[in-house]
Amino acid sequence: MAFTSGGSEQMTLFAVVHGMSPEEVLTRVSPHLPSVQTCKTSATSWGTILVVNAPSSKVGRWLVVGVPQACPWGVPGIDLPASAVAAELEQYGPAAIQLASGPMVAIDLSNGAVLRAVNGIIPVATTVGARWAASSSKEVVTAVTGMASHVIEPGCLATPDGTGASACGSTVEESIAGVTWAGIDAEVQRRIAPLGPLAAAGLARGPGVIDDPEASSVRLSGVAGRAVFLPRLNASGDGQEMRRYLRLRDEVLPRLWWRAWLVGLWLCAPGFERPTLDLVSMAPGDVT
Amino acid sequence: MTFARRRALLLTPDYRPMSGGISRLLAGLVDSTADEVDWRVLTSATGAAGEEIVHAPSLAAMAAAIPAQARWLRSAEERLVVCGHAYALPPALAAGRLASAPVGTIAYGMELVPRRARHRAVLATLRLSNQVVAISTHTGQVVRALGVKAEQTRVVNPVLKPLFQRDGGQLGRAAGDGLRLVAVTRLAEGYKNLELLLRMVSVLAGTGVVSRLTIIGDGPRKGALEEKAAGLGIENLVYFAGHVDDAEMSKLLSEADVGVFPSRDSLAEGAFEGFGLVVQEMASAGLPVLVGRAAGALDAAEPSWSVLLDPDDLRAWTQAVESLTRDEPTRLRMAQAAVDWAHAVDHRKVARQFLEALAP
Repeated sequence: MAFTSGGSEQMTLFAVVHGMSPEEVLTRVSPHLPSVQTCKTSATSWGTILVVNAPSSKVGRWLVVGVPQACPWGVPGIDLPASAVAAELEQYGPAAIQLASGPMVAIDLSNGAVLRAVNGIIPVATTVGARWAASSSKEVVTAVTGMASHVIEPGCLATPDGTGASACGSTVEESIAGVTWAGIDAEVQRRIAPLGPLAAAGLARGPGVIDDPEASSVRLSGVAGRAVFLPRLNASGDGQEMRRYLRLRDEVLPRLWWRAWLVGLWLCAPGFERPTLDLVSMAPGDVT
Repeated sequence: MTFARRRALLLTPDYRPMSGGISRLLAGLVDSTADEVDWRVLTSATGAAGEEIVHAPSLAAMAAAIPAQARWLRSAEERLVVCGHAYALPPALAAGRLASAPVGTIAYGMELVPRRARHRAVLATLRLSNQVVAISTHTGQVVRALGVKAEQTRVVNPVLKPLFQRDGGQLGRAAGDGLRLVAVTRLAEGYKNLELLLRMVSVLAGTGVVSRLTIIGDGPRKGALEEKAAGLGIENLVYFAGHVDDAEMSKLLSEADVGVFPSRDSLAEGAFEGFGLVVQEMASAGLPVLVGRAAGALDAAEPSWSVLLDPDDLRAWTQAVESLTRDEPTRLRMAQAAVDWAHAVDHRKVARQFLEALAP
């Protein structure tokens, strides 16, 4: 991969900042805002929430940002109202994030904790320390706190007191006889098949981008405003599929999410949703 | 075809006293039609005993026994070779040829998915059977994909005599109690989809909707599944009972409120349910059953006591369990329907349907 980022690796979809007013947050975050924007800020008892260019819905103490999908595999087609996801989080707690698919994050309005979706499409960066913030952009977190940040794992809750944990269990790897990467790939392809032939989303080149070969796996879904990331999961063929899969999830997917978002597309990723993750946990491979 | 006095030779690696659905189906077929057919059972099953049994400890021994059994068959005017498992096709076809008898093969499911070259070679001969009886619509499709013509294929669902039956009047649960869920399954394959159940319980954990999930069965995945349950923080809500005897199974089923059977049709694993006898066993124990809408389980689930759900849709399973918790009248109505269905099962009629389909 080679691309120029213009100083910002990921733009700001959302930011949660403790102890800072909306005006202060906007001032510090403005270099990381895209030029065309719908920027909403909310003052809370503990600080500020900023949401940029994204639908959101609040139920009880949960605010859901993004476009959840009705299909458990996250195949674009029918959007699930963000309010439905927020209502489930209100009813069941953070573990309900396992019910959700599609590009989204959830914010606990009572304390500013942020819950990353199981698919990991939208990254959640945060800090450890006295000043606390969380955002889709590591740079924004650093800009508002002056501290280094780290990205939490998919399905995890980032809390201001640092006690956040996984809401969807820990990874337990098995190698079940019969489960293959080619088979997992076929499962994903079967779910995508109803969408028909998919055109390239054209993200491989663009403003500030020299070349990003992984972007060729992003296809337009045929559903307005929705693209899909469809890398071949069995492409390695050298026993390194698990390592490659985790690299795709942890490095490539978040990068392509914001690239798609910048051109008005919400990126879906059936290969990284809960049903696929459960299959991957059964697949051959060792990341250690 | 009317059988005045007919002889049938059954070849199978699975027969009583072995446990398992194939063994029970074949023993039931022999027992329920013994008044109209003289049976011989050529089997490698350890411990098989009875007047009809000819023991052959291996497929090679089975093949060696064929000439004598073919002579026995030939002395009857009407005769049939029943291949009780696709892997017994070579000796079964040989017996049919030597005895000038039609060969009917029973097809279950996973044995039709070749794992090795010799399996592929054996399955290539399935089309040489005069008839293939599939235990579900899904298995019938797999059979036809192996080159067996539609007119050679029949589907008969193996509705067996239940091992456990519960009478009505014992089906209720105390007001305010959460549901006690039960699953019965091998813990060996991924397509059994137990991850979905664990995740569902973790979502519902703080609500009181589920008071316990009991997973009956054993296998190499048990440790990993226990670890997954612990990772989800639900080890106190999930009881891995392991392998249990019939008495304990009956007790555990009688203590449950809803059965769950989330098996998938897994491309990832190349595996699926041929039918899902367990679905009907749980119903016979007076349980409504939530069933994965996949493969052969579609045929096993009766609408009056089951709910079919997308086995990948965690939200649908969560909502279904919550709904049954809150709507006790509906749960009780389904439980009673399950009891009534089990009492109405005519396993002798089903056995005759198999026999007719094997030799139409």
